[in-house]
Amino acid sequence: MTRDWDQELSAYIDGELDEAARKAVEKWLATDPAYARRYARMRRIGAMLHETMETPAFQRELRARLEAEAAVPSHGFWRRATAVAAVVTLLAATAVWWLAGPGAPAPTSPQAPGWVEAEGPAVPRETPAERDLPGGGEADEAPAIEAPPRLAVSGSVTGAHPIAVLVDLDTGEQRVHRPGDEVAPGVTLESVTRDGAVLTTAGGERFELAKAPASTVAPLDIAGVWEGVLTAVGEPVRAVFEQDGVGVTAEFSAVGIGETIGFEGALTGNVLQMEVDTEMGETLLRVEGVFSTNQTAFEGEMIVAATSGDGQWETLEKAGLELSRMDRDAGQAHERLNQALRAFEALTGALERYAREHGGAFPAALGDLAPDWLAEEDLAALDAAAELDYAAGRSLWDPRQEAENGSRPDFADILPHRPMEERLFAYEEAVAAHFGGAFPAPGRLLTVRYGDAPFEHRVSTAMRTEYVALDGEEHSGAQLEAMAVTEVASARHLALTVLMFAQEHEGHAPAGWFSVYPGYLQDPLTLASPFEEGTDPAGVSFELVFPAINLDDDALLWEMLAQARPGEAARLAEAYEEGVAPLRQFIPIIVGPDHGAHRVVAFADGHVRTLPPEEFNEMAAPFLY
Amino acid sequence: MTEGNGRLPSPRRRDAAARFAAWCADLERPLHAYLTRLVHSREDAEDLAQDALVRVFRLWRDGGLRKEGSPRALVFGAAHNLAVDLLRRRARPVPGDAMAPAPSASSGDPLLQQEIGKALEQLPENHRRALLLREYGGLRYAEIARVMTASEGAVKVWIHRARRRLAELLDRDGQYVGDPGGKTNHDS
Repeated sequence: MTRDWDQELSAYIDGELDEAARKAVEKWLATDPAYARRYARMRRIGAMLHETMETPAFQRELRARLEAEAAVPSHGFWRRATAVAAVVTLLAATAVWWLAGPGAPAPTSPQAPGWVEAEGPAVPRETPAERDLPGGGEADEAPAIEAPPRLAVSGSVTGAHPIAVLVDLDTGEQRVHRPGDEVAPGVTLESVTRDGAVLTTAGGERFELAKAPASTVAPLDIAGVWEGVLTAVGEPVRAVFEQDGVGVTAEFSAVGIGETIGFEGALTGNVLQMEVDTEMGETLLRVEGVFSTNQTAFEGEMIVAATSGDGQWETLEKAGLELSRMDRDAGQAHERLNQALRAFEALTGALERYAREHGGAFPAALGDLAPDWLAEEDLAALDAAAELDYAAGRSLWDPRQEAENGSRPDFADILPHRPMEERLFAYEEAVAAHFGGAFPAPGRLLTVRYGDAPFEHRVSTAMRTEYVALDGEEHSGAQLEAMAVTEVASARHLALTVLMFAQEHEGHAPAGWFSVYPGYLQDPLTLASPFEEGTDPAGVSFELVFPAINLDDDALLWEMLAQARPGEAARLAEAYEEGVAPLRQFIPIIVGPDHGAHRVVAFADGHVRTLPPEEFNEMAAPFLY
Repeated sequence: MTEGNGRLPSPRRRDAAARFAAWCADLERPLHAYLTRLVHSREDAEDLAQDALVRVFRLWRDGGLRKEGSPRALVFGAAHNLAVDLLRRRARPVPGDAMAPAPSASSGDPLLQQEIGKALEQLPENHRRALLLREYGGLRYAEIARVMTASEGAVKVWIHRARRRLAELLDRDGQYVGDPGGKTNHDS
């Protein structure tokens, strides 16, 4: 790899390197004295710049200006817009009209309809231009008036079925309205214009609302596949939306015809407006409509318009368009997930084998696994399909860092999912205490995310695997799925732990979990089913079946199996005598907690099954005391 | 230098001005130093620093600050824009001693001040501005890139080159040693 390490040095000083590069630089610094000298000299530059800072004498003046500013009543949104424009030059000034804005009569408090009593900033009469500048002690002389709720139009569709989407600028809440709708008590949407909407009050006053700047409205997330129908022609259509901020592109295809049309446009609030120039250049195909706020439905029109070159467009024809969001193709997603799980298991298996051969140490980089522990192609394939974040050797609790900073690292900086970090950290502390302050192994983590898989995988210190749902919603489908997979992974790990113990104890299974922890089971969190997390302080939710049996002594098991499932016992006995299948692999050794719906059972060969109640009763219950 | 001064307090208080002033107290020195290096005038720098702070104050008071992004970066971004405007308005400054601010009583080390000023003037403008935004502003590369409308990669290179060049031009004690033969030898 050719990398300019001197350049990285500068980024290193600024804390702009990722973990891997930072480590590389530190390695260089430790081994190359010339590099370390250059580092010291570059670092000194910053120190010198700071040494030459002077203390300016504008505090009093600044304070006076701030006080003067503070005395001026807030100009609400308009001020905000101009201030944003002044500071962040990117935001172009956008004309936002208030209900009581220029051109509309300002309602006065007594006659005002109820909704204007809502809290809102005072709106001064002066134009924003007059307010533009850092004027010292200038005070606002305009009498403040009560302002109505700060509504603006976040999008509108004109035409045969006009629609306006109004956004409450304070709460960001958006609602779709049609003419005649009461948008607030006593206030009716009269009409929708291309640039806004007209409201009337019960008292007959008319107000114009203009469009809100895009920045005030959180964009809907509409990216993905939508399917529906063009109502006029009954044509099934499929649309794939892609979104970049308010910018939207879409590929529309008429399912029956198979022809695809690419649209470009924007999503303003709930309103989508897109168009495509046809090859003629004189006709235009538009799609306009409104997404439901929950982002599952779209209702609008596809319009063909033509111009004779005078800038006026005439609608030639149009069709209603109704779309609904397709759920992710469940089958496909599942398949991808399964592939991911298989790849992940190969990877963690390779890690574990590597660690075993290296006295518990993990490789410095995943690349070190190939080709002895993991085929290079596997690694490459995994790398292509997933985002691998391998952090061997990075302890969650780095004593050096603590000594240096006098504080523990903020784990939120290290990992995105705090509850998990806290649990790991608590675990590490517990283990550290157990070992008199020394870790059996520093915290190690492998995080793998697979494209659109609904969860990611993590391996912690003791090769414990955790599956974390990525959609962030508690107990959503992905979360539940992640919990279920984690439970299975834990059961499998516990089964292997038991077998390891048995191997070293002449076939005797451990008498209880205390026999395997911490000698065989390094991570006690494995004992807690994610479904029962927090319910039991001891955190043990997996039952160890036959706690005192000798796994090599088959007599008892034979007997029990013969009683429970005579047919199978006979068949297995036959196979066993032929040396085909050792009987004990069919014996359940770990049983997960009872969720009602299913139970996880690990068998003595390490394989794990999730059994529905009836199967559980048949296969495992007979073995339970 | 710490990254930002943390979050701004809530503006919905009577003592908004005092609270904001307290928040920006730590910013005043680096902001002034940054602006002085850009506009070569202590007085202009004081005015610009105030203007920038007042603008951000308004934004903050009126609830226009985005939740994401550091207010510190906003202050330095505003200061940068104001300084560039000022430089555009007035004649292009003559680089060198003539424009370097004279050391003042409050300066830590007048000699160092002068020597560094001399060295900074040797840097291309973008390199200098990027480095100063980093050193005085404590801005992240991404924030600097936004302020200077450049790519993050460019910012990284600029800052690196600025540091390397300054390390060549200044000796260990900050003495301006110039460019010995123009040969880069940053290993001695």
